[in-house]
Amino acid sequence: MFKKFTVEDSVSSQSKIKSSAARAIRAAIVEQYPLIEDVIDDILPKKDSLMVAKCPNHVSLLVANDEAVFFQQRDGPWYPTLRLVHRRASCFADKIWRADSGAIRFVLSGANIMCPGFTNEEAAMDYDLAVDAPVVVAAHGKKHAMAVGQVKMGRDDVREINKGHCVENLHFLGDGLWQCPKLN
Amino acid sequence: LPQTPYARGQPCLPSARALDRLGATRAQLLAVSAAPSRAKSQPSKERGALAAAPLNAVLPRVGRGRGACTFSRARLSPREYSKRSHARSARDRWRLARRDSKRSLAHHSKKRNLRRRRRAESVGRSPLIAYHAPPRSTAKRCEPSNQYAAARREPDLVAMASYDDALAKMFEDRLTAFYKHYDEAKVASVPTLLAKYKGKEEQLLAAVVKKYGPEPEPDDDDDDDDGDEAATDEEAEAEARGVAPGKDAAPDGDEDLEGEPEAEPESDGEDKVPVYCALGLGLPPEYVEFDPDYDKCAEWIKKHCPHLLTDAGDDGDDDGDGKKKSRKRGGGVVKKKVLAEDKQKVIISKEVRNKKKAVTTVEGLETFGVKLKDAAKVFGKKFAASSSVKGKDTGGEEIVIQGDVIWDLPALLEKEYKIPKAKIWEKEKGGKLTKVR
Repeated sequence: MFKKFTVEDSVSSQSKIKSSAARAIRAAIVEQYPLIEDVIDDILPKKDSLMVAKCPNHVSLLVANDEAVFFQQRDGPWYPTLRLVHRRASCFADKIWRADSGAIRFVLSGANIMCPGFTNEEAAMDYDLAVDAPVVVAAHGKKHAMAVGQVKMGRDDVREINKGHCVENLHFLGDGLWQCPKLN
Repeated sequence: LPQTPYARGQPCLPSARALDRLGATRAQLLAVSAAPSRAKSQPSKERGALAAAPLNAVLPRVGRGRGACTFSRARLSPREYSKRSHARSARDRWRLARRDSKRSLAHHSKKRNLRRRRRAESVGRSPLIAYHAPPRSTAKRCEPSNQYAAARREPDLVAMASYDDALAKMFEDRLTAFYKHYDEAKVASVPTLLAKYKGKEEQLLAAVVKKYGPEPEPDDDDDDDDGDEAATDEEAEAEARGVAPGKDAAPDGDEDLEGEPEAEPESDGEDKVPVYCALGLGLPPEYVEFDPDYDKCAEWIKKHCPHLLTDAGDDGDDDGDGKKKSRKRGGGVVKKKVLAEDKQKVIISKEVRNKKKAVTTVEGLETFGVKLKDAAKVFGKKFAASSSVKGKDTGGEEIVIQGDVIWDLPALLEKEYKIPKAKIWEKEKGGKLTKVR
């Protein structure tokens, strides 16, 4: 989704959101990622108002302290940016699916992940996530996550069918959004 | 104040509230009120007038008519007071008094009085006691010598010279309690800290709370322990999940070396700022092999944080090729193809279509890695002209701009695409190439 993303070209507008809307967003995020509850006030401070940056294809970025922290497509779920995932790994611990190391180079060039990537010996799918839910894709043998995606096939389906795309790659290490940490 | 003269022998003093509003001290009025008791022999009217006279010297006069009334509802600032004492005539005085009475009805003075009342209450003093100085300037407020104040004061509160002192003491207490709870060694440094952050104590407290944790309740100290346990549990979970050993080796140590862009030094177990390679795409060192600029990144990492490089020991020859392959694939960003430096050249030429219409051509921009379509767009916008990418007869592409923009192009090329003027050539008639000035 952020393959060709630059702050100058892709961000069409940035606007502050009302505190009521901000509260709604905060509630939605806490609902999706229950482990984030304790630190949500550090990530999305209550005092400064949050900003939403609009990007092509109906994508909006949630910006706090001049950093993009979450993104959303249309009115779907809020996905965390990889920089946030690296810093607060424990908050997203219940959404990690680990792929094998052979898949890394494909993921890092923006490809969606196929089932065999997760049914490998090295791979692990510890949590059963619902379809269209956010998932953090990590790699075997690496400490940091490498991508954030959307589940296309549930865990059992992946194991049974073992063919086709199972996770859509929305945001990966080194893409346009990764390369612009500061949004003014 | 009653307008009637004093009852025989009975001094009638203004109430405490009136005193407060009038800004006079009890002492002054006591002295003044002593006067009429001596003049008992005089007829009542004169006595009243006499009593009024010294009072008038002290209190501001308000009044309709002869200005005998000595009661003013509005408090006077020193400036106002002097204005009033210099008022030429009764009429002036009357005018000022009228303005005052109107003003005192205004909203803001009510708010001011409310505020004053609240402030006084918060420090534990009754607002109805006369002060030596007008309450507006808190810095000058001195301890009330009044017996009432002494009675109403709370027994344990040490006599505060001013409101500021009370605040300062509160912060000091809070900070000492805080440090006693978290870090005994720093209790001694509390006074220096307060002196340093004078005026910004709230911010200091907020920062300290952020660093250590919530302020300790004076009753129970259990909260802190629970908080710590929760944090460590989550950390343990995250670590246990398939993390290769040896990767956790002190990223904190390296943060000092690098001077991370993120200036968040506190790692309370939740917020771990990772180390990223400063070159290339800024990937974490373990992923740097997939960076298109792998060579430069590897060098940088060897210099700064060598222990974070993945061990290539296990991988055999396949992976040597695999790495090369992955390097070619890159990290999703297509690297700009920049030709060798000597081959880079941009040629600008102008052709005349009609007698007055010309067309400017730019070719060779792709040698600098510039995308032609985007460049054409930029030119079109800049010159307000139609610009497009056309194929050359010889193969390859060139940008065609309607109109004669030859003069402005080099400057634009230099500014936008950083193409040095030395590499821009102008094609004159007859095919000669000259350097652009």
